[in-house]
Amino acid sequence: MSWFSWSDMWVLAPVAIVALGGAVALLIEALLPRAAGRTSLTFAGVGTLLLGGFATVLAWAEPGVQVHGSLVTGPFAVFLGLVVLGGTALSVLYAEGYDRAMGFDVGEYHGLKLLAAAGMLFLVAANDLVTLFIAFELMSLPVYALVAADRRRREASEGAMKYFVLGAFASAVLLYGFALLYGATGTIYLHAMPAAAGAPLLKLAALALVLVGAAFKVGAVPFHAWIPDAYQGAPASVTGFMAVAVKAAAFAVLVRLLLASGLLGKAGMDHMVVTNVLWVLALVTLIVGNVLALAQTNLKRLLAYSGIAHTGYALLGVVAAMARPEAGLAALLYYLAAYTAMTLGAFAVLVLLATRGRELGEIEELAGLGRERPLVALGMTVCLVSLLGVPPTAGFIGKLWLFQAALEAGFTGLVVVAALATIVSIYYYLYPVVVMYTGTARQPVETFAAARLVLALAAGATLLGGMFPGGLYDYALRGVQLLLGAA
Amino acid sequence: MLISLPSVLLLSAVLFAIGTWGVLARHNLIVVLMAVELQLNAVNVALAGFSRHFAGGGAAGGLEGGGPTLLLASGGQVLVLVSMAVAACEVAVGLAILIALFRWRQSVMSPDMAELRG
Repeated sequence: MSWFSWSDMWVLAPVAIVALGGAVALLIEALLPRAAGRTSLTFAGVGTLLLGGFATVLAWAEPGVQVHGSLVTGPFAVFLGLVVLGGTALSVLYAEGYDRAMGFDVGEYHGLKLLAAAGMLFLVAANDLVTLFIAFELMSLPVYALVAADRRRREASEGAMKYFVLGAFASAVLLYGFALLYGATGTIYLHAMPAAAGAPLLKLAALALVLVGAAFKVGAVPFHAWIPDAYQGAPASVTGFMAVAVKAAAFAVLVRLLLASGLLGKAGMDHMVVTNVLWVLALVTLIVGNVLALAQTNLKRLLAYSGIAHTGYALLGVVAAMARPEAGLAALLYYLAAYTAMTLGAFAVLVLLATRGRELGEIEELAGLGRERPLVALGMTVCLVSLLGVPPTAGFIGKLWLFQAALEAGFTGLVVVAALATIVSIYYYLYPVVVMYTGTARQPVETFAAARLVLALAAGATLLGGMFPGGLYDYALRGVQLLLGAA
Repeated sequence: MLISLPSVLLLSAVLFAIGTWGVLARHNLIVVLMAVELQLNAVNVALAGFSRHFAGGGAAGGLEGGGPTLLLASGGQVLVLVSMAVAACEVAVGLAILIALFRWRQSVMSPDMAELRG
């Protein structure tokens, strides 16, 4: 077997396009004079991501294990790949006006976003532990730097440092888990692991470590401490990116490793232990995320805790998958897509209300937006209502399927808690809406076109996803079935 | 001399525990970065140990054939090399953030970094 083949290059093309785009963007920023034009760099970045998306659809559509076992392509990888690329493209798009409004002159961050996106794309298709680890770090390292990007703000470096220390710790724990998984199964290839006979105790220890590492990245309680600080410290144009793309990719790692463990849909002692741990994780995350969100007055921190709460809902799908893999994972994938759209919409509002070097801080500052900018307020309302889970939005359908999957899998108690948590969240999601439509603005609201476009796209996707969810869900389901068949 | 797999794994676990303690308990952020490095290197010890175990005792065992076969037999060792490179990148980013932080606070001690409240 030869090392090099054009068909391998074709499969690697989506990742290569995005990574090259990121490297070129960094070089342009370093070599060309600053006046070279932020706008053109933004459009080049979005163009690269669109090209990467097309390449993903074309090169990864065929299911199968590719590139000497390093990547597994198919609907699962395409689905999550498009989610992370779409999330990145929208967050690159709205960064442009934000930079001007904030007087923020650090263009490197487009390049870093693209590099992180390349890592995520690699991550959702990775099929061996080496590729998985490289991809995981390629995703993580640029994001640490992105959080610290705005060096004029005191809280930026503090948030970045906390994120970095906990993130590096999580990476080390995850890698230890990889080492034990390799030791237990004797192979680095994920698709070969379920069949490999192995020491059950070693496998369980490996899963525990992997679970802790992944729980950090997705922001599950009690591994969530970095989230509010890192979100608050990061520029708003980066926070949205972290909230959606990094989370979706981290869930991909969790799902792939659970699939590799061969425990999904089985029974026995190991299965019970892992299920119970996930169950507790989901329960605590749901409760803590929703309750702490109630106390927030800062919009960015509110969205941070909302993100933790949504990790809890998504974990519901993972728990359900332990008993009923197909329904649980398909619901999880759909939910990640819906979460990406609605959360980016909310962050777009945060971004477009940044004016004169200052970001929007308190929720009260939204007052009067409904009168001043009715369309922006409408878009924000759609996104918040979807985060809450009201029909006919994608957030509602996503929650419905997650709850349904968990009920069918027999986790009635967890679903009851999730439903109660949703009732709690009515307060903190509707409070900003009430503020927007009452009171008067203290100053005229300036917005910019790119972020309005992102808001329109995100809100539109949220509504469309809620009204016509079938196709998306079927595609996710097929991806999960193929992975389960291969595993 | 043959070193048995359990003793290699024990060494790895002890190193990892020391690293974990360092990350969680030490206040000096430079020491914390060192502790993370220790964790990663503890994992490298385990990976190398497993890899040798699967290769049949000798470092060169089962490596004929080249190409993907080589990767299959020595996947753990490849992961060790990769993890060393990644650790270097990680430290570069971490120290850069630490310098940015030091410019604001004139300190590298974590108790001085408590302006944001989780």
